[in-house]
Amino acid sequence: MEHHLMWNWPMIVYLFLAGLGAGALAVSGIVVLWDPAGEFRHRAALVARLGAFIGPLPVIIGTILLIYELGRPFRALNLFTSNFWFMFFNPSPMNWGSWFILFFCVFATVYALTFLPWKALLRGERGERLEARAERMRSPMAVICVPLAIAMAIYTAILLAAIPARPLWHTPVLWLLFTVSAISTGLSAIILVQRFMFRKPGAVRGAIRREDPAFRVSEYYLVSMKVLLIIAELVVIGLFIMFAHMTINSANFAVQVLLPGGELATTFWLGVILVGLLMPAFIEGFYLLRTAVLGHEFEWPYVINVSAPIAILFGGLMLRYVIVVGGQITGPIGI
Amino acid sequence: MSDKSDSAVSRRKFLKTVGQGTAAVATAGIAGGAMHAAANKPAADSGKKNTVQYGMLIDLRRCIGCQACTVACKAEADVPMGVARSWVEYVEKGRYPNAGRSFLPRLCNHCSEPHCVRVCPTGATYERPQDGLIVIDQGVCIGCLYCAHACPYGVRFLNPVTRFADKCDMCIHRIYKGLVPSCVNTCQGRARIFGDVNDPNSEIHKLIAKNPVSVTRETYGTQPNVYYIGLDTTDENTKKPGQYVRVTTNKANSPKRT
Amino acid sequence: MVDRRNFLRLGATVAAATAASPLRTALAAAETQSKAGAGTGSGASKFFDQGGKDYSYLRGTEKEATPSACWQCVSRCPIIGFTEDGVLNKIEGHPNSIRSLGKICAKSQAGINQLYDPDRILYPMRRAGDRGEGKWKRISWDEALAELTERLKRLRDAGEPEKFMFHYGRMKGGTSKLVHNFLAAYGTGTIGNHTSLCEGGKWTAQELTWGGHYDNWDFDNTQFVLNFGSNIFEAHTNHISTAQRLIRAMVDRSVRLVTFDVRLSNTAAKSTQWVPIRPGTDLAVVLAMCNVIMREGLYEAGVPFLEFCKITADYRASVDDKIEALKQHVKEYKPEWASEISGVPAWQIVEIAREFATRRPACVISYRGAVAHYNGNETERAIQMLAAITGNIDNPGGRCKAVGASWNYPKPKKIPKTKKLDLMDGVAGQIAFPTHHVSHQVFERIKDGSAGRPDVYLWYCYTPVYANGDCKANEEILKDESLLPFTVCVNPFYDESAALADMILPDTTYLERWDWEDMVSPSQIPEYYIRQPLALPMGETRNFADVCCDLAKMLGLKIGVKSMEDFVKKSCKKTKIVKKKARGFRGMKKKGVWYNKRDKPQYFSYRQSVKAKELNKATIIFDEATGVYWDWKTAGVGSREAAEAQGYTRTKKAYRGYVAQQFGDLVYVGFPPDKLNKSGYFEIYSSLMEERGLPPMPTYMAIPEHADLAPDQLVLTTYKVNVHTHSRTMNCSWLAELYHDNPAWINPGTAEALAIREGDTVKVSSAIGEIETEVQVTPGVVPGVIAISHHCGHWQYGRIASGKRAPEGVDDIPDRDRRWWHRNGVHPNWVIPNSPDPINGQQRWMDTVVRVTKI
Ligand SMILES: Nc1nc2c(c(=O)[nH]1)N[C@H]1C(S)=C(S)[C@@H](COP(=O)(O)OP(=O)(O)OC[C@H]3O[C@@H](n4cnc5c(=O)[nH]c(N)nc54)[C@H](O)[C@@H]3O)O[C@H]1N2
Ligand SMILES: Nc1nc2c(c(=O)[nH]1)N[C@H]1C(S)=C(S)[C@@H](COP(=O)(O)OP(=O)(O)OC[C@H]3O[C@@H](n4cnc5c(=O)[nH]c(N)nc54)[C@H](O)[C@@H]3O)O[C@H]1N2
Ligand code: SF4
Ligand code: SF4
Ligand code: SF4
Ligand code: SF4
Ligand code: SF4
Ligand SMILES: [Mo]
Repeated sequence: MEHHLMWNWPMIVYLFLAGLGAGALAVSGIVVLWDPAGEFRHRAALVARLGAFIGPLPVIIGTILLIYELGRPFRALNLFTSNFWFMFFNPSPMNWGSWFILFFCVFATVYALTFLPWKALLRGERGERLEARAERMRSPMAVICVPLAIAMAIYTAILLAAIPARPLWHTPVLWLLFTVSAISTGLSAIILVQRFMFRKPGAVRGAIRREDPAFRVSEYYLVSMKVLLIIAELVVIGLFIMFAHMTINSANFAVQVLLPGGELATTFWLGVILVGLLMPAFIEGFYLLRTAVLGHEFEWPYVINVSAPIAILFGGLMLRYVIVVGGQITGPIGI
Repeated sequence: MSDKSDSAVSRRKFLKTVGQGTAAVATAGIAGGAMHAAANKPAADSGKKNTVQYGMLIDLRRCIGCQACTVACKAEADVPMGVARSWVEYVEKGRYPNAGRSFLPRLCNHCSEPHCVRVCPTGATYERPQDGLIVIDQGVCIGCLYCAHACPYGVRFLNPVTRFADKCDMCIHRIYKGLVPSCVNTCQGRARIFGDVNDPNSEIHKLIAKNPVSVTRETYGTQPNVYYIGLDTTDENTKKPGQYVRVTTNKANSPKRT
Repeated sequence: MVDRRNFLRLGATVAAATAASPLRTALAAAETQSKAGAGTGSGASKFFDQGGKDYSYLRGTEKEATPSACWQCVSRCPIIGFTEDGVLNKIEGHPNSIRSLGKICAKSQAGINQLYDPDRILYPMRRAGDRGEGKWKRISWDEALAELTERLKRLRDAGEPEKFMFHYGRMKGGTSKLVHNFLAAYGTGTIGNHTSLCEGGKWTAQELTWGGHYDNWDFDNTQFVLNFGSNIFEAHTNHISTAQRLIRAMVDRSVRLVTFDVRLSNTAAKSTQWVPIRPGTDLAVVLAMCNVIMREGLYEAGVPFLEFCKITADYRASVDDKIEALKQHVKEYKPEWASEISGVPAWQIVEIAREFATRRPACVISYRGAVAHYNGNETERAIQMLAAITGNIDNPGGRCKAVGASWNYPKPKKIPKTKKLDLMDGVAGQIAFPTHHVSHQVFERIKDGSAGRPDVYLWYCYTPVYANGDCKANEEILKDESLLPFTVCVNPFYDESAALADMILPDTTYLERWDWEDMVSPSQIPEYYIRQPLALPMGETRNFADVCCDLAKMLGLKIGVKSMEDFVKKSCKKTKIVKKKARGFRGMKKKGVWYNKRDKPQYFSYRQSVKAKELNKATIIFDEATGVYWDWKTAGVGSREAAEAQGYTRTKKAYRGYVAQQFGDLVYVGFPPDKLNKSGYFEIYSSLMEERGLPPMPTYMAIPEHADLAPDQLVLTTYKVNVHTHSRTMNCSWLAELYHDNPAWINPGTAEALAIREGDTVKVSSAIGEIETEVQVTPGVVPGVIAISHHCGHWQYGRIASGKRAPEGVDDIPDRDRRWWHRNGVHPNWVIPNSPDPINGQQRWMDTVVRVTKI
């Protein structure tokens, strides 16, 4: 069946990227905040740094994409010119969202700047001064960025959930689903970039034994986080479907598109659940368990190392796809 | 806030007024004083009850599904191909030989609790305090279509020529010249009646008072101002197994009614 | 001259203005002089005008309004066109029309799309390659007319003007008169029409009963409406005028409407009751209703209409005799018998008959569903009988004789004796009363050649390939240069027939031309109205009527007018009442419509007595055999003696001299004949039929092909939908968007028996061909029937209709790339043979037996 979609790929990609950026930033910020002593400086710095750099980028790209899609880029300024206080009187999630994006982009960029190797960039005293200041600012910035990132992730869901006329979106579970997915995709992006940057698996081997003090920031740690997030996401998806199914109204009708026989069932079950969640969970879980239960050294082939996060990213995109499209092709029921 | 004194209502009114003000400010630049003044004047008035609320009554007993309204609406504002401000749904049901078909014209309901207005991030969509009509200021709209998703009636769309949100504006350019809207003008069955719902002397008010009327999708709480006489609420989505119900619309690529 | 570029320029300003917020502009303009705004909050009820004006959506300024007349379908409703900068962008109904009461339909609104169709033919064109190859070269009007005149001159000089054949589809009002004047002046009588495709059969049946053709249904005064095969809420030849009155009667006065139809048309759906009926069996039901009415004594008793009816061979029979004859005639037509044939339960027939007879006045209506059959003539005659025995003829609330404007118009000075090829009435002797010709057999007759063939075949407002049955044969014949040596198509659009012409003359659309109109008034008060241009002709298009004036001049013929505008102007002068009361041409141009406010609705026309004085003219004689007073001179008989010797009925075209009818000892106007030498009685008993060896009284005839159908054989019904007119509106984007595909309707039971499911593609094959189409399984159709509308399936007609560009089509049109549908349905006429009702020659559109198989 052909559908007339009002929000299509640009919106889907935007929601995905915004979640991803927010997730990456949140992970980075949390790592920074959990490492006040700077004990595992090197490894923590790597994850935190990558997260900080990744954070604003997708959001900026996604926003530009969306504005470009609107056709009249400067018109988008109306979001802000209609006046700041307007958003408190007109609590449109999109209005709030645009301010979030604005703040997010500004703060995330400043936060990312605190990770730049200023000393290497600007030789001399100025570089040193800046580096010191950057390091001082990092934690306070993280304090701002983590809630902002989480708000961003939640906002991408609230944008949709605020609409009763789209029963698939209008569910109290959606924010949880999108937030979990945001963090999980953000984390995957960090891992993926890390993989590309440190091609040789051997480079990190040895640092990831159980007894290794670098454990918390190790591969193992990140991967277990990811698997846990996947499990959480599966639970939330279960909740999402159950919630809709138990509601005897349009929500129940709407969720049928995702259930077997529904129009988006294949994409949902194959793309989101199988490829995006179960597969990475099983593969990564396998290696994790080998370490956790049998005490083996945590190591895995490079292919899997790269493909698991890609699968998760793909699943994240597909999740936005089925939700955005599914919401539009099901609607209010009743005359 | 004379008669409706509960705080929720007052707050709502307050929000609306502020919204209006903002929109009017944004508008005044081009339209000049006329619009600005007009937009602000009745905001000082008391509760909703005494103000003008334009709306429409569609007497489905008289509707023969002729689609004259659909096309009249297209012509009036040169609505491009593929989108429509108003359309007529055909609901066919029954089992031979007891089969029937009824007709359901749709347009923007100019709701009193318009969800489209609440979600609009720019204030481009707003309720006109002087007549309760919900309009889109295309000088402000960014074409994000958030409003289109929010409307439970699917009456909003992206105008492919202007690239802004578009929908029925109750032919505001006609009614303020003392003409009925275009779809009303052409309605063969005289099924469409336009007027001030709040005016006890108006035809629409009297008909609503005298006849059993209903509105569509009441559960969404938008308090529509398009009323129907003889509305058949059969819905193809909620039909029981073995029941035959076929709803057809002529909207582009949209078998679903949303 | 307005061309499309200008139109587009406005389009561009529109786009620009839109970007600058039309709402603001319009509101600013509107609210400064607000009428409605003044009442804000005051509680004073506001009056909104229903029409006559329109304002620019973008600018808020008033548009220029010009009254004219619609022509998207044959109803020809008065309209007002609104223009901005010379661009027509809105059409509304004319609020002062007593017929249409200010309303128009969807098709009319979309007339604008006709005008600005990107695939319009804008220049005369001459074929460049083989016929039908699609290669064209643009020529000038001078070249085109020179060639045509040369050919026509040659024919006339050779003494065979009849070899110029003119074939028209919908040609009405003044244009019809002017064009006929031209043809008469030229001397050809080889004139084809499309009436047998349409409703000619209904007219002939009426001519046999009450003389004239066209009935008006007085819904404003009726108490009950009984409908046999009229889709009045979607189609009908006087659609806007009648449909709104019917729905008003139903809602305001609780008038019940009972509709017999083989499918759930919107009319059936809107009816109080839909009675599904097997195709072509209405006759049985009507006869059974007459049976019930006669048997139960429910026939008209008060002011017996039967006085005015001829029910036995002897017109002087007493009313009692007549009743007896009627009873005898319908005795065998029992409801149970009819039920067996039609599938309608007997009790239902009885109930409806009783209701019809007892709720007075009641109106029985019928259209092509009843008459486009083998037995259509008898069905319509039976329906006339049903109306007559219940006294519902030409009375308030019943089935009335049509009332319309009667224009006087200029005529040619000299008319030569016309000659004609005998191509129009089917095979000689096969059709009893082809009073409206047998146009669907014209091509067959041309191919046959026994009656000669035209040398120049010119068609106008007509698409022979598409509108007739058997598209394949039509294409072959039209393509064959040995059969039709020179063909000319007059058309604004590149349709399937134009594609096969030798020369195309680009016509204006109806929105660019002059005319006067006279369509029937449902209020029984005649309305005079005109059509005037709402836009300047596009490109080099020219109104064909103007072209006729030019041709006349070039051929040295005097037809009394210089142009169509001149013709309308002169008609306004010649028509006394228009000149005096409506201020002539100037007044009509300004007002568009006019009717006499003091006119009373015309009923009981037959009861006007004729004074002895009027019968005293020397040329009027009394015919003993029929009781008719007739004027032998006007009838074209040489002498009184000759006339007396031949008698009224046996004199060719004696009906032209009809004056009055003797009823008992009174003489009334009666029911004057129109095309047949019938008496002035309402003839339920037709001696003319009898003379032809046909049953004089309406008698049951079964449709031969419908006996013993195999399980996979279905009866194909074709129908019209509310947003299209035949094939001619598929180029209108606003309409094509609403309806562009026509899946075949099949009843769930039938579908199950044939193992067909919703959405399946099936092959529909008949004796002459096959088509493929998708199936829509719906309870809204009678088992054993397959219903396919005849609007879709174009393979030409421009990009909106078929996706195929016309030669010289333009690209810069706003909606061009937004055609969002990909299928454009299928045309059923590929499988419908051309086959006439044996009595009147009507094409039997609803009789075709087809095999339906899943593929
Ligand atoms: N919208 C629209 N209006 C039009 C036209 C148009 O093309 N489109 N054309 C105009 C013209 S030229 C004409 S002639 C008129 C025609 O007007 P109508 O005759 O009213 O219209 P049709 O659709 O041709 O046929 C009427 C109905 O007959 C039904 N029918 C078929 N077979 C039978 C049968 O055996 N018994 C019964 N009881 N019903 C049967 C069909 O299902 C159909 O609904 O409309 C005029 N008005
Ligand atoms: N299967 C089936 N076939 C049917 C019918 C049916 O019920 N079933 N109905 C029949 C009926 S009722 C009728 S009346 C006929 C109608 O048959 P037609 O009158 O032949 O068909 P139309 O589609 O009305 O128009 C014919 C052509 O007129 C051209 N045209 C449009 N406007 C103008 C103009 O302004 N000037 C000129 N010169 N040409 C113009 C268009 O190109 C169009 O192709 O069709 C019949 N065909
Ligand atoms: S119908 Fe929809 S667009 Fe119109 S006012 Fe109500 S919510 Fe808004
Ligand atoms: S499309 Fe325009 S009117 Fe609709 S929500 Fe966005 S800015 Fe507001
Ligand atoms: S009121 Fe005007 S804009 Fe609204 S549906 Fe009617 S014609 Fe269209
Ligand atoms: S114009 Fe009137 S009668 Fe026709 S479909 Fe619209 S509402 Fe119904
Ligand atoms: S019924 Fe026919 S003539 Fe009348 S408005 Fe409609 S298309 Fe025009
Ligand atoms: Mo017709």
